[in-house]
Amino acid sequence: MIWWGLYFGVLLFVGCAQETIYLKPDAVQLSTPVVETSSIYSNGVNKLTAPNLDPEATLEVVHQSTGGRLTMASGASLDLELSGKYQIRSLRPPLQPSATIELQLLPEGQLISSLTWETQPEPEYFKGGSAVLTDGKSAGPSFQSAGWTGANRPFVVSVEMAHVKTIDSMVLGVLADAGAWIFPKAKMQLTATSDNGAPIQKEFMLELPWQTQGPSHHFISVPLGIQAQTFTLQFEPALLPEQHQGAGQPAWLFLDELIIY
Amino acid sequence: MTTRRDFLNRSLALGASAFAPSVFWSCGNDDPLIIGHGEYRYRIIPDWGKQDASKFPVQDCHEMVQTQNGDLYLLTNHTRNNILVYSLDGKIKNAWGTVFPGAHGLTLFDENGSEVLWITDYERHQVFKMTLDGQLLLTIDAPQDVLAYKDPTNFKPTETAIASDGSIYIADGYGAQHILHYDPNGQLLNVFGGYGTEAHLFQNAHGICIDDRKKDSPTLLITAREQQAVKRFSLAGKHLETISLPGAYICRPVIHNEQCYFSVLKSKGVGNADSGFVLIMDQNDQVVSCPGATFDSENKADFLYHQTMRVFQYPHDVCVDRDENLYVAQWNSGNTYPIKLGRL
Repeated sequence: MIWWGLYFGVLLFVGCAQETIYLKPDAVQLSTPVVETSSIYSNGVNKLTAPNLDPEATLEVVHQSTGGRLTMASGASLDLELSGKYQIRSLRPPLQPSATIELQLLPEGQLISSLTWETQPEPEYFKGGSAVLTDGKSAGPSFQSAGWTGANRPFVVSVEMAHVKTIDSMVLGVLADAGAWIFPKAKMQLTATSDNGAPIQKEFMLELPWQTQGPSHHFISVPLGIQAQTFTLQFEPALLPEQHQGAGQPAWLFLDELIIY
Repeated sequence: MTTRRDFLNRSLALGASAFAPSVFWSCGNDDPLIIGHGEYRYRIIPDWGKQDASKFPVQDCHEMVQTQNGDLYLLTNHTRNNILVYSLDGKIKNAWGTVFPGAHGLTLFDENGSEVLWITDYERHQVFKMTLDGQLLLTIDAPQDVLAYKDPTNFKPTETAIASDGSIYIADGYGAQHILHYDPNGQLLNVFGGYGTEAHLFQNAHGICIDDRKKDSPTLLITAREQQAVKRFSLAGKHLETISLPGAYICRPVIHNEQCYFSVLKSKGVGNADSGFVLIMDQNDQVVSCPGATFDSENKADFLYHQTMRVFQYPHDVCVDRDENLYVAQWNSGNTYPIKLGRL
């Protein structure tokens, strides 16, 4: 009996001493999902899909301000009705949840009658034409995706409304992607003519904090406070900051949507 | 046919059932993560090759091969030790090489019973034939009589493949995208490929190997990484077919038995950039497993191969040992050492 005990004891010791450390499911994180929405607005018909979601994973969608939580199986879709920010991640226990991504849906803005590029962005990044800034659709995850347009030199856009409108603010969809030299920082000069014919000129600095991570979609809100039917916007992309390998070179400014409130 | 792997599996199972009480298996090995599909599934041993970085540092771990005695040779662009020689238990047996800052491609070839290594260096714009202990045997420079290489810095070789006759194919994957064919003494025989989107051209001709699975008609498999495809050529340089792998930025093809293994540097369709995985094709060029990623057995038209779990960051090569375990060397992944995948 004692000998058997010693025998198993040795087996146990040898087995544990030579233990191979395998990776456990709870040490591994799911990949970050990519989501698509049918609109950039919370207009009641907005469908969210996650085209490449792991077949065994669930998508969790939490509305930031209300805390409302929705879940979606792979291959399904979700109707999003509220504007604001959503925190989205994929779940598949016991694996670690994916990194959380943020999706912002905006209230619908005022109708823009026409938008004209006075100086076009780079042709290579103008495949969607003028419509990309007013189509109400969220651009894809990278600058190569549909819906983005950009340049690394000054460009001018003219905006025309149906009538003279009070324009409180404007929201611009922008892309940040340090690796692709895309930095959402630019001087924006607004020129308009007021009701009484007086010229209006305002200057704004669009800027998001510098970040080194991969491509991310953001919105910048600018308080305009004007009354006008038409106005022009001149964008002058900034130089890349000193933290960047291309410091001092012109950064690329990529725009997605332009919404007037 | 009984393979060494089958034999070992049967022996282990028999041994375990005969002698081991169940408690023997519960020493911390419960419920490991299993990745892969079908017959090609693996447990992950992340620390297999981990070393003291002050003694054996690595930067990018680019490629890895196994010699006949079972040793595993890892190529890194860290010039303290460009080559790390591992034994199968993950210990370092030897380290050499201090002069390859752009060490990238590592190919093993049995030359009449003597194994040699071929190393490409895209920063030195050269290809080197070496003994297993680091003695230089031959250097191939940029071919000056080829127009694209009048400026030799255009030559940025990423991989070699050695045919059974000893002739050498070099993929200039970071340079002019040509495939250069040399005789065993380093005399240029043929040039084909080049940059472009046509079937016989490449965008990032990153990896190359001899596909000798059909013994009477060997061909070349050449990856076009940016095109997410592998292209088959005759040994004379004629394009034969393109196998498209949408979403999968495949590095080099590695033939082992009847399968072709690829490390996938990154993938499309997920939000994290470090989205690599491993992809395995059978002898009919059908994908049979994607450890760390999705696998679509229905071959849907719009399917994108993509990572599902972050086991890997940027896999750059996969080495298959005689027991069909995998060793995944990674680029730009925090100076990490190769990860072992134990075949189930």
